[in-house]
Amino acid sequence: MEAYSFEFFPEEHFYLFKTRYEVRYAIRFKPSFYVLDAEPAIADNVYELVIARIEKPEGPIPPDERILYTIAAIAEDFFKKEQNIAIYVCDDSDGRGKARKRKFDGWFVYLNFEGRGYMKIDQGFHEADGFSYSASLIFKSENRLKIQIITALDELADRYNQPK
Amino acid sequence: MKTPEQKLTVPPKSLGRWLMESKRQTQKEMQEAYKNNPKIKEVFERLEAKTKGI
Repeated sequence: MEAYSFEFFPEEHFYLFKTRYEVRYAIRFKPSFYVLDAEPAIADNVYELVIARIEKPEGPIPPDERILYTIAAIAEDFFKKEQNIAIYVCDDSDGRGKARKRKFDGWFVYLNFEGRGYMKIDQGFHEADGFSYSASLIFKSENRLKIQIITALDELADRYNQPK
Repeated sequence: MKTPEQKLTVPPKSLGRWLMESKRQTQKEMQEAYKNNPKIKEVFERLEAKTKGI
């Protein structure tokens, strides 16, 4: 299936595309070097994936699989810099975190990201105030710092997870 | 809550809430940018023309 045409808009650092149902999206990889307490070669290359639906028509919108392919194509562009690491956080504050996580995992498998040379590591967080969420890091499987990246995520979980 | 892109000197009490707020803030900023920056609409016009050209 073909991705929609997209364009990087350097002034705001986001990618833009529009679907056949007139829905407009902006995708940003937000610099998030403050998240992992790791060496600069890792921490400075962490970006949070933020997807925003910036305009949509009134009424119901049919499911549109091309959006997935477009986000995948945008991710490929983002990972042209091989050291880049994307972090994606699934909010569970409304109790729908597990469903979001399943959907996100489904995308990763469906779009064969592993076969295309990417690695995803997941971590569940259950903080002291009861807030739960999951965070995933995606990076190129040939990233020479992958062991340190995995360790940094483990350490982050150790710092924030409430012991049972 | 403003979440500046700088190294945290003091870790937030709840990383999750902090990240969620940061994400919502970013989404809001993206929507604002779309409303206020005419160059973004130009990009969409270009994309539209490209789609029609296929």
